[in-house]
Amino acid sequence: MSARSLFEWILRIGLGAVFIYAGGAKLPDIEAFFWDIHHFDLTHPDVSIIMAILLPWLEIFAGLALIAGRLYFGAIAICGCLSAIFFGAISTAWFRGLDITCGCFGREDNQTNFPKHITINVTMLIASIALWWLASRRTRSTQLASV
Amino acid sequence: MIARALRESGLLLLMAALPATIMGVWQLKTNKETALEPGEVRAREAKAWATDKVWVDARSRAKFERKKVPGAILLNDEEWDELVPKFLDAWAPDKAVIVYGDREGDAAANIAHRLREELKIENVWVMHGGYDEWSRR
Repeated sequence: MSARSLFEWILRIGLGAVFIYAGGAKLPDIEAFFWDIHHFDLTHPDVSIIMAILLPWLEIFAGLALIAGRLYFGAIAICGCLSAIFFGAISTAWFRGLDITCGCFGREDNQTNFPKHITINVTMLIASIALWWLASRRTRSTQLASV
Repeated sequence: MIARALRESGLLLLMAALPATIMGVWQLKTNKETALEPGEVRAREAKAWATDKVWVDARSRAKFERKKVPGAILLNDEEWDELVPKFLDAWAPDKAVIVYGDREGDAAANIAHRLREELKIENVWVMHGGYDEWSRR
């Protein structure tokens, strides 16, 4: 296994595991996650309900797909988009001075540590971009080789 | 590659929607309203009360200033001494006092207790679910 493949494998497993964990941690208390979304004051309550129900499963499926290497580009796109959305939501909450828990990894009792969560989301976003770049490069090489 | 990513994302979204829908339906069926504690009132009932009422916000000043029940008065533990006179200006013996806090309701229950014990006001209620419940309906 080349250094690049090893790097991609670590990123893939790491990012996938984080998403599976994040989704799984939300499932036992969907109502708490609904309130966490609602407290961001960014979405209508009805939209918050749909997000609270759908998001944990989307995270789990995207994480599993990433680790399994199936629907790979879709999984990377979802992980990247979700990381960007979480980054935006947490940043605006911090900017607006909200005293909230973000619910990113299930129920929290204390106010969210905004810098820590922003760092996590930026790291996940960079990992998604790196995975996309590596995967598209590999796909292009394969296409060229087959011509 | 972008078209492929969109196609695969859509497929993953559909796959996630299946257990999410089952779980959502199951939660709707099993979701029962939690029982009220003595002295509590639900937001929708409090809104519908015909009697005059004073809304008391027991949360922090920062939260009160950001969003509140229209016409509510701030009265929290931290600023109790400074805020009580303003509350007494708005209160009258024939008015019901409805106190709300965060979803957990500890702050509201504490303020309601102080209103009953220290100011001897009897018609005091705690809004179940706090401001969250109000803002949801």
